[in-house]
Amino acid sequence: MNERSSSPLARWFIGGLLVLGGGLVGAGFLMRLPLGNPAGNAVFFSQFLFWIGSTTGAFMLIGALRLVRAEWRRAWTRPAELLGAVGLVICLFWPVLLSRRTAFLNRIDISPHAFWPAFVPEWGLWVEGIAVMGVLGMGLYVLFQSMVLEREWLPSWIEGSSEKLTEVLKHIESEDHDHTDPRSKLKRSTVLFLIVLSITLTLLGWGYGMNLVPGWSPTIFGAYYLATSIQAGAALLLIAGLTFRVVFGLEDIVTKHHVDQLGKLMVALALFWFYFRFAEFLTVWYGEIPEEIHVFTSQTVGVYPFLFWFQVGANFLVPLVYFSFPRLRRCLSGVFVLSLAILAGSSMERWMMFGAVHINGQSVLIGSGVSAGWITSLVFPGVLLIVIGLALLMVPPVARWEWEDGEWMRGRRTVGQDIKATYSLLDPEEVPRD
Amino acid sequence: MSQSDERVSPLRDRSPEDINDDLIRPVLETSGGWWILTVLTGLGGAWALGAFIYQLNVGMGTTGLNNPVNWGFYIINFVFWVGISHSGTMISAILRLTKAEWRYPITRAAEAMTLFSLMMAGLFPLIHLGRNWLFWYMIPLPWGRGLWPNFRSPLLWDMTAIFTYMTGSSLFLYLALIPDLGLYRDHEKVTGWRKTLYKVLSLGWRGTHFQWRWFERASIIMTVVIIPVFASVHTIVSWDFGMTIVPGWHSTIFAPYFVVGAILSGVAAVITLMVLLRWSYGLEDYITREHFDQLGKMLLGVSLLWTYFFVTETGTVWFSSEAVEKPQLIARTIGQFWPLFVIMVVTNTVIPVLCFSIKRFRRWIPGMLVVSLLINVGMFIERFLIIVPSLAHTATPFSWGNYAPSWVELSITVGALCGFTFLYLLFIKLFPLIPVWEIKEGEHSRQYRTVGDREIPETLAPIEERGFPPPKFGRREP
Repeated sequence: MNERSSSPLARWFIGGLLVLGGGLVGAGFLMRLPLGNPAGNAVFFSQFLFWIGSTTGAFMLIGALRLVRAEWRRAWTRPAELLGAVGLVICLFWPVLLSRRTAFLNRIDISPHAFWPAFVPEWGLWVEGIAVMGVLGMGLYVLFQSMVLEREWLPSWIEGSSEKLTEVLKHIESEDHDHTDPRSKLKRSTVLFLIVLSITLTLLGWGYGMNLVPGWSPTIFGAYYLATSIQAGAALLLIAGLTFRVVFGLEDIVTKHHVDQLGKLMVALALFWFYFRFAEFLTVWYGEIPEEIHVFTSQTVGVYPFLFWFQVGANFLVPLVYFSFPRLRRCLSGVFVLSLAILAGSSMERWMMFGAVHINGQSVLIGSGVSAGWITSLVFPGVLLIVIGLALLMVPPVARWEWEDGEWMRGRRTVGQDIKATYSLLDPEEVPRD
Repeated sequence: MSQSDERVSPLRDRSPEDINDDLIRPVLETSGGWWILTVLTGLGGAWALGAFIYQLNVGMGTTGLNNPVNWGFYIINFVFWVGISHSGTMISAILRLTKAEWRYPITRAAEAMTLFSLMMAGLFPLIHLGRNWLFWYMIPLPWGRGLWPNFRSPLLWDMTAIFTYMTGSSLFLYLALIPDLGLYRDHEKVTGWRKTLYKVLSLGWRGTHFQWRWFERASIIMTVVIIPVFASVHTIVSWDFGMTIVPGWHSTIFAPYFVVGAILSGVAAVITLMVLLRWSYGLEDYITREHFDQLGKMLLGVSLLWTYFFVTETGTVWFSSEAVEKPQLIARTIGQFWPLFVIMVVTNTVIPVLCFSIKRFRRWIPGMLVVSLLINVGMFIERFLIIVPSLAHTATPFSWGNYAPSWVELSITVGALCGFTFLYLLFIKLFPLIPVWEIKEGEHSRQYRTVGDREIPETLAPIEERGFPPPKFGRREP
């Protein structure tokens, strides 16, 4: 695992660079385009929300698994951390988004002429800003804590070019006067990190929920965005983990057991997706408020039926059925393809949620058609590839400290739920002696 | 007792026979306190029955219900008791699925609570009907007039949900009882009608390997089946409100918000019950501080989640500032109902989060009892604040009104609590409240987990807190 193969990394790097370049050109075009009402910058925005949600969702998922001490998480920790780093970089795109609304920039300025910023009129800007800062701050802190634990192995991975980094990590740890075990510190910060990220993702959802645009006012939006981001994050995690498995030859680390366990979780996440979506749609449908029904029908049977039913299949029906079977959960190629489909479904869902609603929501008179350009769609995958490629130059694809801890725990937890032996307490005669 | 002492199982020196004897004692020995409580709760239930008969005779005018507030204490009670019923599945099924081993002594008490609270919940829509003799209209029978029930009626949804959940919960409870019934059927102290009862109910359980294997399979199937039912029940109850366009009710978040609220009140009720049982029957060795610690952690998470949904729901309504939504929100938060609102926030968020964040508090049993009671007071108020202010401040201001429960409604409310307690007391006398086989299973797996030559109660404590932290980096053998 310590032997770094340069060629795959170089491929990642160059590929990512190309995609990012193309994406940036697309972003430039997007900023120049006179996108008027009602679409605004819907494409770019929905992509931003999708990618920041899914990368952060993967990071959150590992945090939650750490808290409940799920041993099988250990293979997924590093891919999740790398995705978390991608989320941090995507946060930096917020000013680009903001530049579409440069006229409002002064509204978030705490300046003498308006000491108290206008929280209410520009609520959207504020919640986005707070959310982005939250993701950045907490994400950086948790990643740093993880790197402190990893410092012993960094030199061997980076082959001598990282003395400075390890020195910094060691130095900062020696400044820690309360002598807390870094693991305990990481665990504690994970609690805070989960709370902060839950709030920040909710705030991003609220950027839409807090208005009267039909289809955007459901109270469930914040929670729904959070839950579905975690599902997309789990799919992204599977894709990243399985790719690392092939590229770095991690067959003994990312085993079928690990995929199987994450697959079980996918069943629950698919059910969550359905539960939130169904709760929202049924309430809207049964309430029968005309303008809401207009959005509802445009999504389900009107303008976007393909996108809608693809989502239902990719995010709920197929994962529910597929991941319910242990044999299918262990079929890695099938899991990989399905994870891609889930990701595609989630991406479409963000477009439907934030873009399509805006276009078709307010009035049938001003409805217009905007489709997601390929360049715009590639900005964030490009960021993902390039950040992961660059990060892998510095850190190994497996969290060594997690893995070693797992081995230590496993060595001592030898007796599990031995059910036959358990029964002997009730009826010793019936215990099979095989 | 220090915390390190507590982590060593108090049952480590007891034989399986001792455990059998300990846990059947509450069934066989009847104290004076049990008789007093049973008689008092029976009388309370009888009083409520009298109040109901009076209402039946006089009519619904004897309640405080009137336009525009035509849903009151009965529906509040209904939602509240359905919420309490969520404890059993949450504790038993979900913790079983996640292999949380600390659940063992709590499961049966929670499952029984589910069943009895559902019985109480099921009564309230019937009481609220007014013309109670027509309740069978809800049953889908192709009867003489050729009419089918109105499938768009929440009454029908509720009935379907509750009966499904009650059937599932009864099976779930009964299934887990079978090994214990078989055990006590053969117990030397069990004689007479009890022996016959256990003989019939244990279905010929001998504890063979074959039976255990099928028992395990059935348990897993029931666990997987009951969880969606559990989630659907309170979801459907929430849709009684969410599907209308009454201000404050037409909210897409109501389904998960109600489910989380139900778990909060249900788990709090389990804590209350476990404290009382522990004290009443001297079960300190079985229901330990560790169990309260774990329940406290769970409640901390659920309380935060409830707060999250509550803030999301209220915040969205507040910010959208729609003219029809504002009056009920103002009435609920800063208007005539503000004292209740403050109590609700304090008891459901502030107190649980502050108290359950502190490990010492989670292990302080009187404190846990008080906070768990406060949570349920807060949850009852929450139901009141969902129902009454919305109906009292509908879209048309000239029809605004108010509501106060009458003595009949209060009597039936108290009577439901008495009825629930009465049924529970009877259950304690008939069946072991702590699952013997699960306790033994837990003890067994715990005894085998050792580190070096020392015995470690691994189930109950994180490994780094037991004096055996993982080796530091660089000191470990490769």
